[in-house]
Amino acid sequence: MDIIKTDTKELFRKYTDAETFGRIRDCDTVSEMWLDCVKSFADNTAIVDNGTSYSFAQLEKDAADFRGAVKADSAIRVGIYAANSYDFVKAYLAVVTLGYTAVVLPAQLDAMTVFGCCMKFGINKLVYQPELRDNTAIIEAKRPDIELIGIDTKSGKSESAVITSGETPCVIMFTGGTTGRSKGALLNNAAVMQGTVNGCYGYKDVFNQRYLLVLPLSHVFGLIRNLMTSLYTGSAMYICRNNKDMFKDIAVFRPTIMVMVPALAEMAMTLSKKFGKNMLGDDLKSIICGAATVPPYLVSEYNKMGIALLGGYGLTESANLVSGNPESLAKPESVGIPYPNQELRIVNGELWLKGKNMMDGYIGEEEDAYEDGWFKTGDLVKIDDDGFLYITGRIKEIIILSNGENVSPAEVEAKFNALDVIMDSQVFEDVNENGTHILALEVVPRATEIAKLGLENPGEYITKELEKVNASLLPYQRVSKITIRDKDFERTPSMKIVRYKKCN
Amino acid sequence: MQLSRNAIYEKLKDILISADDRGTVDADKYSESSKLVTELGLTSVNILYMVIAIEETFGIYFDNVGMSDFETIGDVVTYIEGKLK
Repeated sequence: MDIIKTDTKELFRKYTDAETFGRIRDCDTVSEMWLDCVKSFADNTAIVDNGTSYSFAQLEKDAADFRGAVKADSAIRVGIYAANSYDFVKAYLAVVTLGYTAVVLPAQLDAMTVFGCCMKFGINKLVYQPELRDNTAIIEAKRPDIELIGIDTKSGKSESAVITSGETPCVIMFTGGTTGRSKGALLNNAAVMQGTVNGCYGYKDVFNQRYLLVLPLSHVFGLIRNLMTSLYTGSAMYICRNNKDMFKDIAVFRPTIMVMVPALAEMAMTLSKKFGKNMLGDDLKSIICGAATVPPYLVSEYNKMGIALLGGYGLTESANLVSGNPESLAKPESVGIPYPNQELRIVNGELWLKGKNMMDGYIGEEEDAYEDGWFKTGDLVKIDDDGFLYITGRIKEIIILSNGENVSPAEVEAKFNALDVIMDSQVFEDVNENGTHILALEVVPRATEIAKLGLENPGEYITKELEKVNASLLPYQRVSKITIRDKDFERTPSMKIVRYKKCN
Repeated sequence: MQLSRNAIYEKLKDILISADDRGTVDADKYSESSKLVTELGLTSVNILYMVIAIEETFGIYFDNVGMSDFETIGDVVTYIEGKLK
């Protein structure tokens, strides 16, 4: 398989205003980017949190003071253990613009896990949110050498940002990795900045926008695509402290871009239909949707509301963004065009990556995720003639049939999910009453679409539609048993379906 | 006008039916003692939907309550009743 190089950003030019496109420039370090932002957007609102607006200049003033609190004699790792807040943003910027590594710890971690992370990731100082202070007691008792710093600390000293290099480590982020065991991925400054700049491609206008933050900053999708790209583009970011208040926050702040997971986008759509109004506000132009498969149905429904729902593909290990789809309406099943400065290879269907945005490696784990310097994603992909990527499944989910054929359940499920009446589906290997191994399908119907049809026997209709799709599949991909569920599938905390393991 | 407990329950049933668009909540099979997560099979996003829809429908505001504070449909009805007083 040829190596696909994405050395040019020209593929994205046609989707963006010429002047805007010219403003998208590569940058190697967060410090350079941040100082440039403070110069260019000094009086612009950077963050709105808890009823207060903070300009870029104010944020730098507060970050400079916090640098005074975390400053050390040499480069260190600083844990940030806090929920989304202005203080989080201030502390994160202070740490990384000193050339230190921020270890971002999700606020929901318990005391023992935080202690374990301090040990595993070699944390020298831990910045904590006052409400989480109790969870740091064990660190104080067992590791008095780890300095604990309240996130609201005022040092009274102002320290300047330090210009480092692209290779300087920047953040360690939590990830399930390609095998599902949680570990820390180390991203250097160049990787974080490439992820940040990638977030600008594929929109008509990306500067001076209004973002509403609903994702945790402890996830790359929240930290890089939401916070970092928002700062880079001189945009304002409103921090939604509690997702149940997001629609009230939307009414006040009127965001123009939102970064969401599909489950949340789907919920907002259902609420908008129930209450007969656009719950996301009339100013919203784009929803950046990722971290799970985007159903094509959502793309077309949002388009009817004048909102572009743009899917993409990324990993924690790739500083979030590998590809983005500026043609979501024409190619709703694609995860888009690969972003610049990467190399892609497809080896036996699996996507392998190299590039400026890739992590330096996992911390505290020896996992063989590489081959000849290529990062093996574990994701099965295909690419069309226009260069658009499609995810067809995960290697570990592949079903090997008795005749030796390999079936990727996700690829088959995508065909059934394309039906409006289907909400979600699962293809799995089962054993029938004769003891023969077969492919089986279970689906969860989409109630609102079925209600629209006013059918007497919805089950019969759904079965017929599914059978039509089944007949269109390659012979070895066809399912021999169809079940229509009356309950959702069991789901993981990140809303992914818990896959059946009926045959091992 | 004060809503009766039964009227609140009926409105809540409407919300639960549309809670996740998955058609998983068959309201006729359930009662006030039905459990939200283990019997109705609501996910965290469904429960978020429920809370937002309740606020819109009843014009009330949920305090910062944890979702684990509500085990059954009846618990939610009681909470709404208290807020409407």
